[in-house]
Amino acid sequence: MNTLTFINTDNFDEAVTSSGNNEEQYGQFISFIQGQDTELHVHYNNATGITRLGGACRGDHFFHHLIGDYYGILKDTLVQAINNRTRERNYFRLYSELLEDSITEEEFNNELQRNCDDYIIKLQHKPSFEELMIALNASKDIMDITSVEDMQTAFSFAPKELNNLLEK
Amino acid sequence: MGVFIKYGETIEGSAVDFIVRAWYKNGPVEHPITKKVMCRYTTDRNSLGTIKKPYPTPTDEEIKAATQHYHRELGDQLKADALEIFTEGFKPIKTNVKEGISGRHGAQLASTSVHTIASIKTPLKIYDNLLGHSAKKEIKG
Repeated sequence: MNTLTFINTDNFDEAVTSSGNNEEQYGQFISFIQGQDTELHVHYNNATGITRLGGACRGDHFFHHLIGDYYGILKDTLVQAINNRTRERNYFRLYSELLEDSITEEEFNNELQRNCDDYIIKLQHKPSFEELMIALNASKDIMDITSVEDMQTAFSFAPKELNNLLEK
Repeated sequence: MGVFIKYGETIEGSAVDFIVRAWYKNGPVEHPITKKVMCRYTTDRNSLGTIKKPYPTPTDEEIKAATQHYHRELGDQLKADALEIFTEGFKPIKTNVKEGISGRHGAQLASTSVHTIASIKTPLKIYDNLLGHSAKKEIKG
């Protein structure tokens, strides 16, 4: 088999399966990518040097992979979480100065009001499906994130927007 | 006066008492509904929150609509494993450790006298279906 024609995933599956049976004969390489929200088949025919792919995935994040901006979304999402952890750290650093009497309570309050973005986490971001999936997957490995509320605070997700997204 | 145990249940009071096993300070957050800067805390392992002084129903229509599910009666309680708590102000409140509280060893007691909002935390596992860990997951093209 030198060419594969597929119209839908069923047709593709059949084509890949049948070509897989002829792998030795036609030297074809088949790779299946099956994640939690993606079912994608990539077929490389090393006789013709042509790669064909097909499948289905939830949302449009595979599209972002193809056009190369997925890593921008990934970076921005993770940087937001790191910056929020920095805000918490900055706050407790300032609070420890208050407890040590290095600063007065008035100086403590003034500093928080003057530079609030350095200390206060805001929950205003409306997450896309891709950002939510990144956050959910990352949350499994991030320390101290065990609940939806912890994840919202870490990634600055607006709770109402998150609920709207999940209801879709 | 009610006792609430489901994920997401929320109480709001002008003064709230808490009995918890573990109490963690998390820093200030701009509350997404009230827009006030509030100190956030999380609790773990047998958490109880009781309204000691009710908070009036908000006059702002938008906030009133967004918080219509909040419980504000005197004596309303949250009973859960883990709570998320917000207290108005920049400084965190202090807790007192007391031993032998109703079978809880070394429980921490906290009493707030400022605007307080407490919710039962929702575990991340509830989204396993979204991640495809449920047998019901299927993608239809």
